Amino acid sequence: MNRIIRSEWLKVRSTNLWWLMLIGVLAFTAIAIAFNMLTGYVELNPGTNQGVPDVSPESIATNLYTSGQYFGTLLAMVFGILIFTNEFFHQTATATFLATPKRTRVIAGKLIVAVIVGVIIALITTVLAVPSGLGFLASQHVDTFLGNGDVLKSIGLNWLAFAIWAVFGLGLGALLRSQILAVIIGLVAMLIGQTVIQIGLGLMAHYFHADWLNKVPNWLPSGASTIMTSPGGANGIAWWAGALALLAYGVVAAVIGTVITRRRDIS
Amino acid sequence: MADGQIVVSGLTKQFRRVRAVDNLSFTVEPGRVTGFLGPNGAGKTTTLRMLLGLVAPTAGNATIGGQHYADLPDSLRVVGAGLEAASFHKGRTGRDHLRVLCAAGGLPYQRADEALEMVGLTPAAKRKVKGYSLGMKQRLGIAAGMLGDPAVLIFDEPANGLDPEGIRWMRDLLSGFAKQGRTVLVSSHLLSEVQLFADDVVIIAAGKLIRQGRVSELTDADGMQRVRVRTPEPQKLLAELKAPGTAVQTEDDGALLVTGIPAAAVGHAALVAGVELHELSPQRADLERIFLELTSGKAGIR
Repeated sequence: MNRIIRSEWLKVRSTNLWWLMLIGVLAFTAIAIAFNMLTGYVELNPGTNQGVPDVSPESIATNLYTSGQYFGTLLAMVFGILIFTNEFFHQTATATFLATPKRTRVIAGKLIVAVIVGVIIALITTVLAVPSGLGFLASQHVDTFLGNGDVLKSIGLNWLAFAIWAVFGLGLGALLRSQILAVIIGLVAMLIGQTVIQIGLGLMAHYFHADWLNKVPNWLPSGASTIMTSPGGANGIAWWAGALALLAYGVVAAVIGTVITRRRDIS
Repeated sequence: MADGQIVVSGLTKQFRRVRAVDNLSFTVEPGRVTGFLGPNGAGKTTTLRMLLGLVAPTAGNATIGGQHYADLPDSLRVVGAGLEAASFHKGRTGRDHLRVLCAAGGLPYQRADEALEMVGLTPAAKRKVKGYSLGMKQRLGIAAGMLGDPAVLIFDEPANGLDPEGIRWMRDLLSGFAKQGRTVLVSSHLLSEVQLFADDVVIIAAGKLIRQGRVSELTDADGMQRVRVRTPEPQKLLAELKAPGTAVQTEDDGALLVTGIPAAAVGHAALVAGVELHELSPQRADLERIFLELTSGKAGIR
């Protein structure tokens, strides 16, 4: 297993992928930090905004410390998709499966690399977001809340989100194999699919008087992710239930993808 | 079971509508270069991919040293294979491509440099594959196959895209491998290539075995002796070539192609006729012609 992890890690390191990912993570995190500082400033100085509801300084701190989560998890997912689908896109699957004929091992190796990269992305965003958030809060003469349990939990859950989204992406890639299709479906599921489905289900719930339909979106990937990253849970569902739901999507996709990959003719 | 012997028996692959490989059986012996020959679409690549565990056979068996490829504990140390010149990540350097495989196969990275040296790619080692010519990619494919110093080598169309010098290099390399006692199986759709570097040949068409044997046997078995002879006075010579079973054709360049008697008899006829000879050469049966005869009507699009 060590061999395959080393090999998969070198695959990532030896192409443009890693520094494109790095640039993406740095850029998006910087933008998110700037945005969160701006909204934080507006919220902490009510004189400049009339009519915006008061937000607790605690949630402003949480927002700042987990800056970059939204696009960072998106990049982690795309990374997961790419490390699998690249094998077919660049036709390297032949060489890979000649060197490691046990295909399940290859996928397991990629899964571990995906988790490692997810954690590295989390590390980068945290290293950028926490000190800059601290500096901002200090400059605004607001408590930093860094000793606060829920704030720390949020930072921890942030890390979990990156790792699980990377696994989700890998599962999606293994399932679909087509790079373009997997990236499009992944991004749609994460960015707009949730809203569209939510609205659709909301209308259906109203029309059929079936209130439970309104709860379904909580269990879709991006809804589950939102719940997972809220320390107190959301919509009455605990954070760990959201984490398990998202992990389940990734694992189920990866397992089906593995079964398909084991049987598939590589040509 | 001989070490490194390849045994294909009853191998069959049915794609949706096409039977790409049809009850194919043959063996490949160590210490020899075996050409795997067939027209385009004959099922060569599918056969090699089944042998290497990449494609699942519909029926039959293919083993290397008595084992299925997927069951080999250290596959790269037993079998080296190069399948397509296109199957590299274009944004990765040749050296890194080999290192990735070294890591997966449990081989030291140093093997990547040694293999590059062997195929003459050291100057391009740190260049990305997208800057490689087809011939360089072929060399990289061979290098990948050599990483584990394996006893069995399998290459699919390795001479594609090579210039004449490259083809000669390939021939020397392959026969060198065979002399070291390795099993070497090389596919090609070009007879001239196989004639150049193979000792044995397995000919398939439409997924079926047409012939297996030594290249020399195959050409001798043709049986037809042909002698090419050129003289300024062909009519005088023709008059002497009247022995039973002798047939003479006139070539485009005016030379005579004599069938049915050995070169010595043609020379004697010339002496008797008193004509001057500019050329007298026995012609080896042309494998190309045998190949076309053997596979005629079986090739083509299926």
